[in-house]
Amino acid sequence: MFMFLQTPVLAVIIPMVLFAVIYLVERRSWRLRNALAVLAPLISFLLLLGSYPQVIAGERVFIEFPAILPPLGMSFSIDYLSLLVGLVVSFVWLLVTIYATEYMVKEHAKNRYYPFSTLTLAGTMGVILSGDLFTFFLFFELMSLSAYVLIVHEETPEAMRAGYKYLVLTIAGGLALFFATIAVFEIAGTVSFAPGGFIAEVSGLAIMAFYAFLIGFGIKAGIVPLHVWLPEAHPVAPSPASALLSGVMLKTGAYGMIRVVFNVFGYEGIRGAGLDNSMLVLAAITIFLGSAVAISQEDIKRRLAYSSVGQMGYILLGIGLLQERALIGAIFHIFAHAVMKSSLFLAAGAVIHKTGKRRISEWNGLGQEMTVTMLVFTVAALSMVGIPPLVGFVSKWELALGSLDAGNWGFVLLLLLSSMMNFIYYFPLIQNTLFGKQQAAEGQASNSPELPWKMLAPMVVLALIIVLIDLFPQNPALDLAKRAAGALFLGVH
Amino acid sequence: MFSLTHAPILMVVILLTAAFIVPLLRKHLLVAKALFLGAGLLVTILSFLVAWNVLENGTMVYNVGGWAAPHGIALVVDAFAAYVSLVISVISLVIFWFAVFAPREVKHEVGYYALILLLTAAMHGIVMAGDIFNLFVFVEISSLAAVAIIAVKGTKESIEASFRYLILSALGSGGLLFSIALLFMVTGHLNMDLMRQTLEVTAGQYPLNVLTALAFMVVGLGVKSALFPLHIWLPDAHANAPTASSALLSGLVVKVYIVALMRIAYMTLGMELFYLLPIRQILLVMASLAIVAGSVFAIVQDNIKRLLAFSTVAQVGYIFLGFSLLSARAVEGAVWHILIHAIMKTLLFLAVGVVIHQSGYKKISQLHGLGRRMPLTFACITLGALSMVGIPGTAGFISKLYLALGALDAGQAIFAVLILLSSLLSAVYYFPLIITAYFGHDASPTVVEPSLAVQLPLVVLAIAVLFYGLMPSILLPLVRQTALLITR
Repeated sequence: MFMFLQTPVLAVIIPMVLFAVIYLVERRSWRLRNALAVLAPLISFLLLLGSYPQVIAGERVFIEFPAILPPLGMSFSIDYLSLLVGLVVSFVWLLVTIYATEYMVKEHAKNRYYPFSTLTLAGTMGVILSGDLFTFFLFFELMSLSAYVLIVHEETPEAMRAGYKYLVLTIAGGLALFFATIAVFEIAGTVSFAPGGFIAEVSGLAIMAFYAFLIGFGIKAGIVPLHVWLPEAHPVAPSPASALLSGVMLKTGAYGMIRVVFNVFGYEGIRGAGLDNSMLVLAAITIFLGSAVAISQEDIKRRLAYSSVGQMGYILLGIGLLQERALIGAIFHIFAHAVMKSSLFLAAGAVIHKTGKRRISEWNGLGQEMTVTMLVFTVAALSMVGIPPLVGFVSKWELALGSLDAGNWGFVLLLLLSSMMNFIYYFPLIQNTLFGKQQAAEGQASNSPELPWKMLAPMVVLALIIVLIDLFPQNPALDLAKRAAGALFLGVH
Repeated sequence: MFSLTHAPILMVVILLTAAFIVPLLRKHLLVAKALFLGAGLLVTILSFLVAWNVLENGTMVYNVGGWAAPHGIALVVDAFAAYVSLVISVISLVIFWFAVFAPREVKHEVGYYALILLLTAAMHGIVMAGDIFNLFVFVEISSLAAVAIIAVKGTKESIEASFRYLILSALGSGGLLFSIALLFMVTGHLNMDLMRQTLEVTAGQYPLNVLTALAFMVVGLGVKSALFPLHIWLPDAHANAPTASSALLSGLVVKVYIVALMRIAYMTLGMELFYLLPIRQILLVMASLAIVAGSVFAIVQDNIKRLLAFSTVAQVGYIFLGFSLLSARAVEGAVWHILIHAIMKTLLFLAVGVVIHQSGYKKISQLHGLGRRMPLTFACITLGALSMVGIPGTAGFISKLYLALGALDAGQAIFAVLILLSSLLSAVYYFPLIITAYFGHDASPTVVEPSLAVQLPLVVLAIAVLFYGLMPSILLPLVRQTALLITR
C-alpha cells in the first residue's frame, strides 16, 4: 500500500488530486483556486528535487503496479533523463502558472483553465516519470486530451477549428503509439524501459512499430510533415497555455523518441536496421522548413510557433545521429528550448495582454514602454540564435560536435544555416522594438508600472537562467544531460 | 445456504410470470411498477449467485422437470452463459428503472413493461438453452418482443421501422430453423451436447448438410445481430424506438444473437469443423466491413440516435472480429466488449433520450451550450463517448486493448490497425457531440436537468464505465473462463 507514497507516483497523483480539489473549491474562492494551481507544479518540482541526491548517486527509482490494467500493468521510474526533464517541466509550469494568475484575469472561463492546466501537468509528469511504454501511453493520452481544453479556451471559431484539427491529429497520434506499444508487447512480452533496449531482433513488426512511434511522437513534437496542427493551435491558445504547449508539451514527443530509441530498441538495433536515416531526413526537413516559414509570419505567436517546429528538428537530429555528444545536445536542448521558448511566449503574451498588439509591425518602439519585457524577449531571442554564452549556444555546440563525431559535415552547415535564419527572423524584430520609433499613441504613456510582478518575475527568472546557467562553474542542467546521455549509451541506468 | 439448482430456470420463469401478471394490473399502476422492478431485481440477484456458483463449482446443468437429455429439455449454464446472463440482468435492471421513472413515451405502460419482461426472459433463455430447438423458441420470442417494443411508440416512423425489422427478422428465423432442421437430419439430436458428440462422427459423412446448415445459421443470426451488410433494418429501428427500447435493443438484444451463434457454431459444431470451413474468413471480412462502414455512416449523421445506431453496427463488428480472430486475447476482447458495449451504449441511448426529452433537440448541431444546462447528464454522455472512442481510463479502452492485442497474437497486424482506425473514426463522430455541447454560445437557457430518479441509471452506468476502465481485474476470471470455453 505504501508503494503509492513514493516520489514518482506522488509527483503524478498530487496534481491529479489537486485537479479535483480545484474543481470543487473554485466556485467558493478564486484565491484558493490560484494558490492550489501554483501549488501543484511546486509540489512536483520539490518532490523531484528531493530525489536528486538519490538519482545522482546512480540509483534508479522504480515502482511497479502489475495488477493495474493487466496484462501490461503500470510502472513509474526516475533516472537521469526523467529527472532532468521532470525538473524542467515542473519548474517552467510553476513559473507559467504564476504568470497565468495575473494574465488570465482578463479572460473568461477561468474556472476551466486552472483545473485543466493542473490535469495537463499531471499527464505530462506521468509521461516523464513512466517506467514503461504502456504507462507512458496512458499519460500521453491524458495530457493530449486535457491540453485540448487549454487550446480552445478562447472559443472563437478559429480556436475551435484549430482545436478540432489538434484533436483529430492527436488522437491519430495516440492510436499510432497504442499500436506501437502493443506491437512491442507482442514482440518482446514486456514494455518496461530497459537499459540498452530489449528488442533483440528488428523484425517486420518491429519496423512497423518504430514508424508508428515516429508518427505518434512526430505529431506531438510537430515534426514536418506532421506539424500541421501546431502553428494553428499554439497561437490561438491563451499565452500561458502557448508557453506550456510550445515550451513543455512538445518535448514529451522528443522525450518519448529518446526512450524508444535507447530504452526500447537499443541504438545498435536502430542503426543496424537503418532506422536512424528516417529520423535524420525528417529532422533536416523540419529544421529547414520550420525556420524558413517562421520568417514569413507576421503574427508574433505564429512566428514563435514555427520557430518551435524548427527547434524540435534540432532535438530529433540529436537523437537520430546516435552519437553521445549529439544526444547530450538533444537532451540539453529539451531544457534550453523549454526555457527560451516559454520566456518568448510569456513576453509576447505580456505585450498582447498590455497593448493587444499581435502583429510584429506594430511592435516598433515597444522597448520604451515595456523595457523589462523586451529585454527578456531580446535575451531569449539571442539565445535562440545561438549567441554564446547563452543556453541556446551550448546545445548548438554539442549538436555540432555530435554531427562531426558522426562524420557528417552537412548537418553542421544545416545548423549554421538555421541559426542564420533565426537571426533573420528575430533580429529585425529586436532592433525595431528596442530602437524603433513608436508609431503614435504617445499620449497613452502612463505612470503605472510596466506589468504586475506576477507577470514580470517569471519572465525575469527565465531570462536569468538563460544568461547565467552556463556561467556557473558547473552547469547543472548540462551535467545531468551528460550523465543521462552517458547512461543511455552505456546501457545502464 | 439454499441450493442454487433451480436458479437458472427460476430466472426465466420469474420474468415470464411477471410478464403475464403485469398487464393485468392496468388499474394498479404502482403495483405493476413494483412487480416489474422486483422481478428485475430478483433475477439480478439470482444471476449473481449463479455466476458465483459457476465460478466456484463449474458448469451447472439443469434438466427441466427432471427429464434428462435426450428426451428432456436442458438448461446449461457454463461460464459463458453465466457471464452473459449476468450482463443481461444487470443492464436490463438499469433499463427497467429508467422505463419506470422516465417520462412516458408510450400509451400502454403496463403492456410495454410486459413486452420488456418477455424480451428479457427470452434473452436469458437464449443464452442458457441447452438444446437447439429451445434456443430457437427463445429466439422467436425475443424477436417478436423486440419488434413490438419498437412499434409500441406508435409514430409512423417507428411502425414502419418495426415492420421492416419484423420481415427481415422473420427471414432470419426461417434461416435458423432451416439450419436446425439440417443439423437434426445429420445428428438425430437437438441437445447441443449430444449433437456435438454425434457430429464428430457424422460431419464427415454429410459435409454438404453441415456446410449448408452453418451458412443458413450465420445468415439467419447475422440478420438478427445486424452483421454488415445484413444491418439495414437496424438504424431505423433503433433510432425510432422509445428510449428504453433503443437502449435494450442496442445494448443487449443484438449481442444475444451473437452469443447464440457462438454457442451453436463454435461450441456445438466444434472448432475442428469451424477451421475446415471458410466461415471464419467470411466473418472476418464482414466484421471488418461492419467496423469501417458503420463508422463511415455514423460520421455523416446529424440525428443523434441514428448516429448511435450506426455506431452499434460498427461495434457489433468488433465483437464478431474478436470471435473470428480466435486468439485467446481476441476472444477475451470480444467477451469484454459484450459487457462494455452494453454498458456504454445503454448509457448513451438513455442519456440522449433524456436530452431529447428535456430539450426537444434531436440533432447534434442543435446542442449548443446544453452541457452547461444539463451538467450531470452531459458528464455521463462525455464519459460514454470517451469510452466508445476507447480513451484510456474508460471501459472502452479495455476491450480495444484486448482486441488489438488479440489481433497481433493471431498474427494479423492489419486487424489491429483496423481497430485503431475505427477508434479514430469514432473520435471523429463522437467528439463533435461533446464539443458542441460544452463550447459555443448558450442557445437554450430554459432547458433543465430531469429529476434525480431519471439520472440515477445514467450515473450508475457512468460509474461502471470508469470502474471497468480502471480495474477490469474484478471480472477477469469469468471472462477468462468464457474465452477458454470458446477457444478450447
